[in-house]
Amino acid sequence: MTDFIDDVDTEDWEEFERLGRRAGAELRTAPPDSAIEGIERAVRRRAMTRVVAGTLAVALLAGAAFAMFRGREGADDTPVDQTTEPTVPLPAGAPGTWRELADTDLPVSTAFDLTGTWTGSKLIVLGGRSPQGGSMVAAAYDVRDDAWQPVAPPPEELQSPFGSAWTGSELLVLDGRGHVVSYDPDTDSWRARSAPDVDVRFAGDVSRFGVSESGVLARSAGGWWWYDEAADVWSAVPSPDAQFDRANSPTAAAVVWLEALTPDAFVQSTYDGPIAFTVFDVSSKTWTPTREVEIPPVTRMPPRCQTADAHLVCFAEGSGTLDGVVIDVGTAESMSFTLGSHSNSLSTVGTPWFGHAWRLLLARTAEWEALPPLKGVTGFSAAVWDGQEMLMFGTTGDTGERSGPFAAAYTPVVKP
Amino acid sequence: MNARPSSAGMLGHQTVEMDADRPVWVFESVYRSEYPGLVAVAAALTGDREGARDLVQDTMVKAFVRWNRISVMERPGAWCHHVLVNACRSRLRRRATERRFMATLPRHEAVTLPVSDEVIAFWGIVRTLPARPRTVVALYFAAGMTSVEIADVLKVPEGTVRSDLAAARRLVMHSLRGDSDD
Repeated sequence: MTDFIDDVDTEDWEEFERLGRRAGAELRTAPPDSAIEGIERAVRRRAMTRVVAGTLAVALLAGAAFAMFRGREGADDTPVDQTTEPTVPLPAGAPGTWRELADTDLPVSTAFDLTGTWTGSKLIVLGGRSPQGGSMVAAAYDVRDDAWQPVAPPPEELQSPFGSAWTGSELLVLDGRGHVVSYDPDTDSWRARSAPDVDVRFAGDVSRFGVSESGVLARSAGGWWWYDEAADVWSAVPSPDAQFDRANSPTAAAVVWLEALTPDAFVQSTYDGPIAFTVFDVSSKTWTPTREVEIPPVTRMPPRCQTADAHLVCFAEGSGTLDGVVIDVGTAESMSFTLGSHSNSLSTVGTPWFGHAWRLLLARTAEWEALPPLKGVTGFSAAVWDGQEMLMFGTTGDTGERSGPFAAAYTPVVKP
Repeated sequence: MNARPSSAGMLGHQTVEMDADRPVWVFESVYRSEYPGLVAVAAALTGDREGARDLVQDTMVKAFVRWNRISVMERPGAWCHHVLVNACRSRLRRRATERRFMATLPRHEAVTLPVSDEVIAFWGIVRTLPARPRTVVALYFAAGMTSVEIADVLKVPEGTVRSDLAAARRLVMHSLRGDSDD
């Protein structure tokens, strides 16, 4: 093994080799039999966690039955958390307080479509290209270390807008041109996933695809497509009913929103007078019958809809107000709200909350929580829920008090 | 050092679907053949033999859940070492953070099982090297890898591995002899 000795001190090399070989040999140990059984147990635990999460999701989608017997309180007993369970003990601040996180030099100040994904121990931030070009940027924040780590540059072909989700071992990303890639934090590497056989172009419209830990649901001019993450295979799936076909047509005034509702269900919604929605079940590859929810008139329509903890939150900005409605997708029960201000952004997509204007709405219980101000911070464009805190990533305004990207964690008083 | 590709199942009752033209590695044989080297590398890099076993178990759980993909790799052991080295870096970073902010924590001292003073001194010096040469030495001696294999694990040119090893040898031997010059 010393065939590449590059200097003349052979005696030194021999001594180094002798010592090193001995040092290596003394550290080697054969695996105890219990070790390999431990792998099986650990994998079984992971599988069980997924099964429990899936069962809870199914139970919530059948929430109408719960509600009939027990009213809304019944649904409260079956929380479905779309976020990945923490895999490590995590720090947390006092309820109702902010905790500033380590500084990052991630060049996100001009990035668009910034998203955050929680892996169970890290927040991975991925940012889109700006209209002026440039590359996507990515970085990972390790909660245990309170430190940002570099992430290998995302593939050049990846473009905004995009959707992402944590599969349990990788960050799965789909962009509007049908590129599917994944990032493995353990190897700090990206890999291309299989491309759809057909010309699936999602036309740069983020509402045309949803990403969950199971895969991707996407629609194109040619129909609907499901990408199975585990099998790395695309397949055609049935379309929802005609109401959504109308809304999908280029002349329709209504906007259609598609998002993951739980790991194994996606919800498509549209405003067609009332809010209409239908749910795609991944295991059966079927859509539920469309249901409608009347909403109070607001100044400007159509609203934007997003999911939060198996609920739909649809909202639209009026004159100095933000009007919206929270819909329990299982029961179709709804509750409207009006906020007086909408000056600051607070993205909470993929968490149990809907966030806006420094307020959090816990969708499942319809409880609001006002956030204390953070000096100089104008808004957060990416947020994840780690089970105890909302880890938020954003940029600061040109106030002179802060500048550049900023990360902080908020511990809510209201618990999901 | 690597297990042979085989068509047998992994972990007894679990089987791997396979293409007749494409051999796959069996998890258990890769696990058994790679384990000693992985534990040695983790112990060398972190100075904690008990913690090293945990890091290797975590690594192999990660490998197991991705086994469909890893089993068709040319060298699954390289993937395992790559992941393990990253995990060791994280562990060291975390330990540094703990020491900075939690002075009351008990310190993790090196090597808990009986090893010779000479070996303790050797790895103690290796752990003072910069990150990449430190990892190169651990993979070279603890995992018994060649420079080509190390280059594959660390995704660096082979020349870099050779150069790191040469530099490490100079520093380690000078330190062991108590030389004050470089």
